[in-house]
Amino acid sequence: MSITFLPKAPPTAPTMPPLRTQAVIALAGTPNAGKTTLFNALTGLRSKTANFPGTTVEIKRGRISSAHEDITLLDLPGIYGLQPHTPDEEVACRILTQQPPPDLILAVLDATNLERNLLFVSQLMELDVPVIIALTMMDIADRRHLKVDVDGLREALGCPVIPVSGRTGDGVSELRNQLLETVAREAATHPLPCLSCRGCPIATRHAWSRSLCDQCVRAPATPSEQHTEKLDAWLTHPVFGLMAFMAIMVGIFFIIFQLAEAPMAWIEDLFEASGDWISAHMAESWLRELIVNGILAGVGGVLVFLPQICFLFFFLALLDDTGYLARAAVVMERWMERIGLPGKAFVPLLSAHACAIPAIMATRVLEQPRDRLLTILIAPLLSCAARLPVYIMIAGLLVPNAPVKAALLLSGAYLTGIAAALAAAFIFRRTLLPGEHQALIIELPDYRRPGFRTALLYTIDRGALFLRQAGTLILLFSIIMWFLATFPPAPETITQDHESTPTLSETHDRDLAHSYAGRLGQFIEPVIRPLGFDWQIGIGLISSFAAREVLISTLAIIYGMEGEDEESESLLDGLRQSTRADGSAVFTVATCMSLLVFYILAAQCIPTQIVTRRETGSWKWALLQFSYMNVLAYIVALLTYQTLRVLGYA
Amino acid sequence: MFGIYNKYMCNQSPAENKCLSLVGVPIGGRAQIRSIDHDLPGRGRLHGLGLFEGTVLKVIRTDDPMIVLALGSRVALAHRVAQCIEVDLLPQSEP
Ligand SMILES: Nc1nc2c(ncn2[C@@H]2O[C@H](COP(=O)(O)OP(=O)(O)OP(=O)(O)O)[C@@H](O)[C@H]2O)c(=O)[nH]1
Ligand SMILES: [Mg+2]
Repeated sequence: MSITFLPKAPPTAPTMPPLRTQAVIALAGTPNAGKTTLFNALTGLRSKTANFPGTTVEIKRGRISSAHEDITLLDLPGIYGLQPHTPDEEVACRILTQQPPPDLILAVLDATNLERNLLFVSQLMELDVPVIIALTMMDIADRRHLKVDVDGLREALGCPVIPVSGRTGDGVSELRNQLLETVAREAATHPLPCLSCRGCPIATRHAWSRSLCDQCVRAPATPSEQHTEKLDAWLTHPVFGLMAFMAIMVGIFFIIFQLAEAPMAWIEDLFEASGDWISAHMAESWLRELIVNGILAGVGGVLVFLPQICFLFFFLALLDDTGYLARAAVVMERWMERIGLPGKAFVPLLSAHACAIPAIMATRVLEQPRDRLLTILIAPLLSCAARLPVYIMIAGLLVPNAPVKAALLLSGAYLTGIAAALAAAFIFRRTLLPGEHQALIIELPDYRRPGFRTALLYTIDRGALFLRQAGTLILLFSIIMWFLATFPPAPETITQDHESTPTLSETHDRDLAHSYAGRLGQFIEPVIRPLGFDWQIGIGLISSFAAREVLISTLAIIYGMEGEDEESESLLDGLRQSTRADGSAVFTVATCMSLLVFYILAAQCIPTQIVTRRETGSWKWALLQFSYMNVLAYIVALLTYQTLRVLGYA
Repeated sequence: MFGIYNKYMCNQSPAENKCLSLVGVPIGGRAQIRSIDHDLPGRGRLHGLGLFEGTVLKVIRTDDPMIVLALGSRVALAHRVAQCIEVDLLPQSEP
């Protein structure tokens, strides 16, 4: 490593530095300049992500501190200038230009592409805020034998310029010292020497950045970016590019499911063991019931998906870090454009396969509000992780002990979701949201080896968000659902009417029928009867609004089984053997298929609608999303059931 | 919405001083941007990416979306956008 590090800046502070707590430093830079990597190197684990007030745009906040200072660092979304084009960029620009402005801007510049990055700096320097420049990617510049005259730059720009590598950590402590010192000193702003005027035309700025580069950057005669171009020739190719895309996606999902299997089983075991322990150590009471059957079953059922979600985000972050996702957007643009979706929408749609909520939030990479709205509306149709257990249960009912058929059924379910989403996009584009989508303009960054640290921190962040949700919203829903299914208890007197003592399952059925949930189920039964569902399944449908996978535990409870000592095998056996009052089986092929189709298409996740409302700014779209999906689910399930019934599968 | 794109689709007059839309530049060809349509929705984004009047660029890929190299970075552009960028072809001087 041969970075020429800056000697410590001369101690120019004449008197004791004024003690300033809570100074704010904003990291600004173009996308992929290395802001987040540098931010992580500066703050380590001392950061947390929070929404920018009034938006769902997330800003990472971190802290650096010394004996005198306690500084907040903000990792802003990447911007190309001070005119925003997406909600993300809008927030970044707003933070930089709002009143009061940040105390200091740390401009993060990619040392391997200074010409364009200096163009960006020329805009930052007009903001009347002190600027410190971090030249990142110095390790890459070194490898490419790119020589940057740091002193020359510092002189020309009139502000501290510090070469760093967020990846290797070189220069980071010098940068930290410089930040602390500058904040303490109340640094002056640095009017750009070249641009005494404001708002120069871009050509003038470019001439300036160009001449500064000519002056301060010594590049080797032959550029060494050949491997990026060779890879691009394949990965953006219309045919090979698509094949590579498919292979990468299938590979990632395969790995995710493989890796997540073991930790999912651990979490399941943990919750089961906790339930057993509490059952054994607590006197029988409604509180025990609430904890075991309400809270542990409900929250545990959702937490099982934590590993899958974490792995998905980890691999997405790695993939993003390599620079591949921009290529994938190019490849997908060719196909998605036919439906009316921009190629960039594929990233949110991909993450919708884990969970619709982060997917909806990820739509802010799209420039055009109409594109964003369209993507938000269809994202929940893609099969999220919460639907998978339901699919698995139905596969177990329909094709027991036939792994190949089960795999086909599962793939069919996922494909149905994708087809429905594309069809919905096609229709919305031609009705509610007409017009052309924003034509693709995207930078293709150099391919880079992904940074595990950044990906890991991102994953921890995402996982914590999911945990917070499970700990609040889903906990609340679980308690409400348990309450509805338990109260009011059936009056004892009815028991006396029976000649023989009723079986446990009979008591259970009666209790349930009497409960609020049971009454609700019976109330909606006339509506769901044509889909092949009885009132017990109706309760399952209602309880699924807490979380889809709650259907399984609900069905287990409804069909008279105690969840605790049940192997999943016997749960399926129990369901398979359950009968209606007239003795006919409940879970026929027609009912199972209808249930499957319903779960693929229905909107059953209130948090999704809440996020849609927040992201679109109106309940109108959340309501539309909720109703079109459920109407669609109802109609298709109805057709499925009635067709299969006619064919004799009921 | 379609108007501005159509305008540029038929506005390619190669006879006039080698000036044409960016879509017409062959693979490996170098060109200098003469003008970008003022009504193009992505105009500001192009500026940020280093594509503005006067930029010299090299075409790496011509199918839709095409890929160009400008100011040291690669940018992918839909043909719909490239049609709104008028360029002057430059001779293949650099290696
Ligand atoms: N070799 C090397 N790679 C780096 C360095 N800093 C960042 N990277 C890599 O550059 C890519 C982009 O880095 P990020 O930190 O995500 O960039 P960013 O500025 O936060 O990007 P956006 O958030 O998209 O605007 C990743 O692949 C990083 O691993 C560095 O100093 N050296
Ligand atoms: Mg970042």
